[in-house]
Amino acid sequence: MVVVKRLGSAFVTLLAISLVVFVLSRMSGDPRELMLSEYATAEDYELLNERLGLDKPYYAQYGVFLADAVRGDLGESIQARQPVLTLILQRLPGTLELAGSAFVAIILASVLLGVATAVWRDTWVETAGNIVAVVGQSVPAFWLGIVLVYVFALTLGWLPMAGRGGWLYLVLPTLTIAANSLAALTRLLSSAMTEAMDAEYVKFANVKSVPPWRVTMVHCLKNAILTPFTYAGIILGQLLTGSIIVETVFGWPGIGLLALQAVQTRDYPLLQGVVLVFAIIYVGIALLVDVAYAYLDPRIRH
Amino acid sequence: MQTTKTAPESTAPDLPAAPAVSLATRLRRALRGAPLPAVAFLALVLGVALLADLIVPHDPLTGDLRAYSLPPAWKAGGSVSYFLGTDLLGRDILSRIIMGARISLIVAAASIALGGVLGTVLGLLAGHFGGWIDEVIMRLVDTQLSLPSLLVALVALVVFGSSFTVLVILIGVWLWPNYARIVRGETLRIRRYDYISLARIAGCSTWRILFVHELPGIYNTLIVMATLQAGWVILLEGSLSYLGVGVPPPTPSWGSMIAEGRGDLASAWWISMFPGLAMLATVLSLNLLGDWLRRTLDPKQVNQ
Amino acid sequence: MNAHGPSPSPHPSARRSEAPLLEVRDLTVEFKTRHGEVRALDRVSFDLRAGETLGIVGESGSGKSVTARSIMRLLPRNARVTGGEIRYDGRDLLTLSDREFRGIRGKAISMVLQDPLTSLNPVFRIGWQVGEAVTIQQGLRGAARDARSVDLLRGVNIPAPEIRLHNYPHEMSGGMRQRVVSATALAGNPRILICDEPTTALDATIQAQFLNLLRGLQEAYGLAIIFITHDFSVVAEMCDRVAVMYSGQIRERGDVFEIFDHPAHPYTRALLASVPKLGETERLTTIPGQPPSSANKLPGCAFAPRCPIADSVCHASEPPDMALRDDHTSLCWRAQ
Repeated sequence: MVVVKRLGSAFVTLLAISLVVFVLSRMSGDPRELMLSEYATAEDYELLNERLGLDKPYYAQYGVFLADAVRGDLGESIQARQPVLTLILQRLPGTLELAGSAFVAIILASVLLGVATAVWRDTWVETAGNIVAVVGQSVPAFWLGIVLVYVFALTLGWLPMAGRGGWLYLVLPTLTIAANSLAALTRLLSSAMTEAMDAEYVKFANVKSVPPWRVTMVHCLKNAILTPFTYAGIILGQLLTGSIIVETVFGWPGIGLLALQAVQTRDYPLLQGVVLVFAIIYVGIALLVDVAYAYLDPRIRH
Repeated sequence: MQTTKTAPESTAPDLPAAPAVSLATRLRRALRGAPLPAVAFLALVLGVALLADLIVPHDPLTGDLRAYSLPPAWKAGGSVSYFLGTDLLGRDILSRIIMGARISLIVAAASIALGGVLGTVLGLLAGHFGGWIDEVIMRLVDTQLSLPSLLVALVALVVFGSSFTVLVILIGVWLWPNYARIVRGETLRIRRYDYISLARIAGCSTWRILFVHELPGIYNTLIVMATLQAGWVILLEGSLSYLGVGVPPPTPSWGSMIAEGRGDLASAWWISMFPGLAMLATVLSLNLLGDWLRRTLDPKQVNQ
Repeated sequence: MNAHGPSPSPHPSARRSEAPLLEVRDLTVEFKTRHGEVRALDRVSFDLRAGETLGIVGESGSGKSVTARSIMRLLPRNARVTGGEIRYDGRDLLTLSDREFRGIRGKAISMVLQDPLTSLNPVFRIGWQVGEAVTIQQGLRGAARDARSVDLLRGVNIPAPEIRLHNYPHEMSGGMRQRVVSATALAGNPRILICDEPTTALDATIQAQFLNLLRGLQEAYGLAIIFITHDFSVVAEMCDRVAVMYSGQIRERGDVFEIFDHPAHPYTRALLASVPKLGETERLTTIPGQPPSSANKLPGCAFAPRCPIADSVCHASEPPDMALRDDHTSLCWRAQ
């Protein structure tokens, strides 16, 4: 039931995004200006006219646009002269690799920091954790990336500057993306842990003589982890968005870099395709998170 | 929390009534625990942004090509006149940071004003009237919150071209759902209070109840949100400018300055470093101030 | 409903000869608050003998919960035991390390907390939570653990315990959850069970059922029970002896019949007068005034400001613990 409802709202979101993209393209005047390069001939214009059904009413044009998108036809890139979908599929693994590694890093680091600041609250550990969190939240990701490159690649020479390769190439981009989202998640986890540690069931676990580490890491953490989990969708969204910026800093061949190239060359069909693919991933992840949450929290499973 | 719950016997002693206090004492009390360095820095940024034209040591837009890529004053080859060095076109970095502060603050203030007003009004309507109005507005909020906003913004900036106005409208529209959601929640809370019923019994019009009686009840929430979001908007404007779709050149923006220095990191690190530090310090101060305001004014719902 | 039914406890005097199982001597606990150190318990002393039920009665804030939590080492972070001893089987529990104390907690002394709704962890199944106690207290695993869990649940009259093991707490009623909590608390076969207002959060009918169950368990396990409550009528039903607390001190203690028939302390008399009795139509009396806040302590008896019979001595200096008949004592200048 919950899943069906979520599927419905995911579908609505996708429709909304497609509508936004469609409306934006028509708001600029002649959409063919956006979709053809400046070297296009009159025949190209004529062809596209027919293809998009520009003589038909708007809702019919939107129908054509949707039908094409569903069939996987996202048009052709102006610059690369290749189907947009092909270009995107080439770059997709890079972005997924980066976002995945950042997600794992954020989860591990925030659990570590969140638990530590809650367990050692009112000590220097909490202060340090809070400082890390607020600075992480405040630092511009693109600048942090540049600073990391300057320090670890240019000055110390420990890590590669840019590009995609072995795991060494992942370190700096992962750190850069993780910094911003880490703060929010750590705070949430820390306050959820603090709340859990004051709960009556913790006292009762003590009555049972459950060892302290087990009280913290099993009894409290399983409760505390649920709260931030509702934000996991938002955080994954931030990661994907963050990847656009971080990919440009580190020349990481992913969808983000592709999007930026599309922006710089005003390659509208490519940009539109990237947005739609991103939206599908975005909505799909949010859906997965919600289903996983429902599975984790017995109170809403029914 | 724990003590009040488990051991009420000892933690809630009655306090004697507070004696009358002087204004100075009251002010000191109100500011207890305030992040004073952050407040001072924000005041500095604000002052610098207001007086930018008067205090810039050099023209931030045109450079002296003979003085290109100068390091900051304390490095070998640096010049005191160009205290933080110059960029590749010989423009003074300090002057550009000062002008950039103005741009950042204007974009933040304008877009938050736009998004805040839009979101507050819609949130008030949703919370006050409920029913289908609430349904429509909140559905809109949910949909927009689930969009990949940065990408939609990129598309819009490509379609409309980047300009100051487009940027402000875009960020404002990006922000409103957050306000709408929280204002709606607060309104639902407030309208249960007796003074709202009383106003209704007294025959106040719906609009009067909305804007005279309910709105003041959520000022605290709005102040905290706006402060916390100001930092976020500055980061966002920086990101867009960094990507080359924000404030169009040659207007100096911290984000585009950082982008300009990226290619010459090895030879001229200062071009990227200082605007980034300015941005970090400003956003950090705003976040510290916002956190303190949240603790002090304690609106329950703002949690991000 | 209850298989055990009400079981008359043996007359208290039958146990007089035995050495006490738990001796609390001059237990003093202080809380660190914004307004300085606050004394929550002030030289609290009492004995608990094997198999008996001791009631601790008082208004909220009197220190009865703090007493229980001091014994179980469940005090909040800002609280500290600053004096006294808690002797169990001849050993002072306050001198044990946390690790050593875990050998006592659950095994020798166990506890049922006030709120059955929050005592169980919402995200784990009942079987997991009961089984955990079984594993820790008895070292059983796998099928043996499950069998023992089922036995424990059956022991507290939970129908179809095999099925209940798979439930989450939110799927059970408050009364059922309190039974699960009790079963879990008994996993280590403790000799002492502390019940901190175990029925306050329950409906009246469920309360009676639970009290019956508790008496049955006491019989079956040979438990000594410390029963903490604000309700004198429950004391009459459950307890052999009773201690009345007010502002962190035990004001009066003794045999339950003795206290009911000859209350010596004006506070006890006031409490007893506020208990409704069946068939009586006279108005219930209430105690005028507020319980004192521990922060600003005045000289003299802490109850004096509310006491109907206080005189100048009461306001000037603290009363001594006066021994009356048998082991009946009262902390009052004017005890009769």
